[in-house]
Amino acid sequence: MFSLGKYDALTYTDSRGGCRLNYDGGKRERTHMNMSGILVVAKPEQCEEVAAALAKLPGIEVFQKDVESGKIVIVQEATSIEQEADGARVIQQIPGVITVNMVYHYFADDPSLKYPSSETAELSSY
Amino acid sequence: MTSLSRREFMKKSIAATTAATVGLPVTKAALAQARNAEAGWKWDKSVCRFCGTGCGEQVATFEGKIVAIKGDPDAPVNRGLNCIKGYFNGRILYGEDRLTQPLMRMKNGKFDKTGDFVPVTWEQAFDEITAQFKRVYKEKGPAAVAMLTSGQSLVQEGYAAAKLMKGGFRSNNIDPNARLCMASAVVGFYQTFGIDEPANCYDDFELADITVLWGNNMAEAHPILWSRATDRRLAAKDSRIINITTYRNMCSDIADLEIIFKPNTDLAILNYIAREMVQRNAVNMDFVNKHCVFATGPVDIGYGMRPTDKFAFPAEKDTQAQQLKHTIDKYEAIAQRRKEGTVAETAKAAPDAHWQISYDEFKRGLEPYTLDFVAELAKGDPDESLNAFKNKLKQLADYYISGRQKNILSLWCMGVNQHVRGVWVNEQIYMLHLLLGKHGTPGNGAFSLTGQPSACGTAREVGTFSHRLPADMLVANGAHRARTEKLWKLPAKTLNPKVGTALMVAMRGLEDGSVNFVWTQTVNLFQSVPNTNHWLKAARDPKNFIVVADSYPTLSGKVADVILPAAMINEKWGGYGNAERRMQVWRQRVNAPGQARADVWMMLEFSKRFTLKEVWGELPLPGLKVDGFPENKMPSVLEEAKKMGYNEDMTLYEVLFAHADNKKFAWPDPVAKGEDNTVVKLLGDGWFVEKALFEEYRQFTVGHQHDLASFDEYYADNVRGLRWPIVNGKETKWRFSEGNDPYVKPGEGYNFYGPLLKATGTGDLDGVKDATPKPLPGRAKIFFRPYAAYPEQLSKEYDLQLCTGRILEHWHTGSMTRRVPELHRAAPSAVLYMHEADAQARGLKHQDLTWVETRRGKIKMILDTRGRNKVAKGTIFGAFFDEGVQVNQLTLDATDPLSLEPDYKKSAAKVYKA
Ligand code: SF4
Repeated sequence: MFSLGKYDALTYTDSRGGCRLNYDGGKRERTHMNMSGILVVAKPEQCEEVAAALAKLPGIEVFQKDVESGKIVIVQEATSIEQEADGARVIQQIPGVITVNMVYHYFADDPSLKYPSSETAELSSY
Repeated sequence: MTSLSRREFMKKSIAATTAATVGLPVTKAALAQARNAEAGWKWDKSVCRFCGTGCGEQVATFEGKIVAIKGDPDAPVNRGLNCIKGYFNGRILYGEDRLTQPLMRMKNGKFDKTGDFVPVTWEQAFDEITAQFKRVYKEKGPAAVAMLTSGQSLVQEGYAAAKLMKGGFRSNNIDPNARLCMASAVVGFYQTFGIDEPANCYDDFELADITVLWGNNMAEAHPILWSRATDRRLAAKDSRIINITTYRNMCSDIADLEIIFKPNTDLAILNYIAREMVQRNAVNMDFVNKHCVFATGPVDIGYGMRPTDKFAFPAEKDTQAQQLKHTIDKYEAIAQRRKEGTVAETAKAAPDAHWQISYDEFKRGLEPYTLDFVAELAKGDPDESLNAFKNKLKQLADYYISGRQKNILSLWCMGVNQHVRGVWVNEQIYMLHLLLGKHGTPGNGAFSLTGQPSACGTAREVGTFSHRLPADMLVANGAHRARTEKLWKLPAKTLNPKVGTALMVAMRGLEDGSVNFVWTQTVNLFQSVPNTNHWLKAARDPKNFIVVADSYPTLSGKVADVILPAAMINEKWGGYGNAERRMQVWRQRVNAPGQARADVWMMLEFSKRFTLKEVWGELPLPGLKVDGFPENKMPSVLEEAKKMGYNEDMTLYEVLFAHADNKKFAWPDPVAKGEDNTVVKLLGDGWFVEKALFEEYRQFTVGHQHDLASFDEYYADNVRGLRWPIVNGKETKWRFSEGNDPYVKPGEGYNFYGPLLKATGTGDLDGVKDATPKPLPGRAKIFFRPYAAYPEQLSKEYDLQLCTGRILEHWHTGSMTRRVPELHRAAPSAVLYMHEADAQARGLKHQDLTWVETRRGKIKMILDTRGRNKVAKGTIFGAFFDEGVQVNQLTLDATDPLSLEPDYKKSAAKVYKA
């Protein structure tokens, strides 16, 4: 039976557009692949530094950058949506970053992409 | 393919698609590979469900599930980008705790208010809801039932709910949570222009030279608009961004000028700028003389609290008393040209009264707002020198007065609207732009942004407010009711002429016994309204019955009697309207899980359970006193209904919804392109509900300055929403100016044609001198509004200013749990931002667990003195998004007295170690 008594651990959609999927983040979603194509816009003069800082973040691969416009294309991989949003927040705080924009989000439940448990651990260690 | 190589393959594909979408070079081979990765997927257009920006997106489905979302490169709003919230658009459907069955509180197989939630059938749920509704409705009439909806409701859902409540149940007690975010903007529009919704559009972001943010943290609240603004800033070297705010936020990183001001003193700063315009001869007199009048209204209008302290907690009584009597402080004395210590009585004022004044009177009103006075009053950062602050104010005035060749765009949202004088501040921002003659033209204008995805399209334009009818008509206006009755084919006098309960009033009604039945849709009110300790308790009063329709369990669900599982965005057909008057639509793409159903289906099913004789006979309506209506009751319209061919045993479903005109829209329809429609299937009578309701609603708009296009036009493959009014197939980017707006005739230059409140008395700053209505056709009003203090000033005991708002990191717990894992679950707590020095003074440090207490309640929060929201000394900031941390237990439920929108930003609090 469903109980709202154990309220703290429940998922909800709030009244103004916020949402929370679940408190455990990715722990329950081992076969769930979340991959996102993200456009990071950096101050052009700091583009290289930002790209270098991005490359060091776990789960993130830098694919393309345009030093003139400060545009950097990265792909982020994570085991949960919380982790992704969280990662985006980390990116936002890199000095020189102006905006972080999500362009493409793939999140299929894909058993062929099952993560070995060691990998999960690594990916969740933001 | 092995797991690893498939991952690499997907990654490369995603990188290629991303680069192509944002206009970076990609090889043909990479693109071809990307297409391969998506083999078998079906892409179709949709809209982000999160904020009022209204970003277009493409949604991919595969084997009955959504598998990917991308920013729609063809969407003019966002050109392929989404903000971080975009992550949630697809996955939000698949949370583990989706509600999939109706739940009802039961004991021994029967409904029991004290029972536990048990899954029941839809039939059982509807039976109990109907019985409870009829119990309240029979005894107390239409004023005791309420439907509380949302700025996230789809256009058709809002329309069906409003029609059922107003046309069916003859109750105006329907109000959206947009009351909590946009109501002040609406009254500002009505009073200034006589018509709702912005004159400007997003194209202005690339056309503005100077962009001014008034209490609007766009970087977090409207990220994609912010990226357009920052792009412009980087591309046009001479462009500027000005951030006027009560605390340092992310927008300050890019801003050329940051002004930190004390809450409520925006009223004074705006008058200072206007005064400078006058002093420096910068007023565009030609424009003002041709297209505007000056106006003002009463000053002592209270704070939208109850006029009695009967229901107040003991600690609340002193704040509550401000509603009736307020002592003029030293700054108000100067700003309002009166004596310090005067006791202002508010009981008699009609807050929304206003009258025309002369330009000389207007100037006299501005006179006290000198740089010296305003700087001393408004400086928000104790660490900033007065001179530095003065310089900033002067610069701000310089920017506004920087001459004809510079385009200037003013933007605002919650910071201005959630304000005890929110309507006034809206009007003052229009004041600046009207004085300059820079409004509603490319790159120039005062542009009110919106928080929710369809606060504009549904709540405001459809009119799911307690005072509104579709397309800017009002329930209190006889001609508007008559037009609505005609379009809805209702007997005359079916519609109730008395304004219903605004959201805050409905909540208070649960407490004082005037409202006993509430149904909420797509809204978590018991978390999001201020001062929740009152309403949480009231919901559990045995006389009250609460229905919560939502997709996930919420705090509101916890205090409900019945929880109905609702379908979400791409699980149903629908449309949203964003802040630039752009209506956008999508198709149903996937099925809702379990027995979750669309809100529109719930409304239609509910309507089947009422016959005309139950709702269109004579009904009690205490307090009704309107010409042509009996006192204290709604008249029976059954005889009239019979003459129109109805019989009294017909259901509201047959009369309001499944009538012959609507049944002409048959399902299936080619516009579906193979997609399904669960609502139609469940109803089983073959009409295309969403299309029929949309087309019915559209009749209100065409020819009435709100012209929408047809249902099918919005679904055309090449259309990414259209901005109304759409006349002769052309959308409108800027309203009221010649050449841009089809309702402005050649030679007029401008025409502020909004029809509401277009005749007023005349007088001076102190009051009406001649009440004879003087018409002001085609003109906008330039209001003088004075500075006024907020009701709950800091005291020795409550010595910190609590401001609430939304911030990104509070949506998800990853950041929080990582920081303080030991507190996770044991004491789930959100973050309280505080200045380092204030923390030290209280013996607190970063990440301490603290109690935050106001007159209304106390909660635990974790202290953050290093976050990116850098508050000034004396201010604290808490987000209200964490269900474990009910910041709204703390907030004061004072509202703007004109808009009845709460001010979440100014509660006096104390903080101490937990
Ligand atoms: S800016 Fe608003 S509409 Fe656009 S993706 Fe973000 S939340 Fe959605």
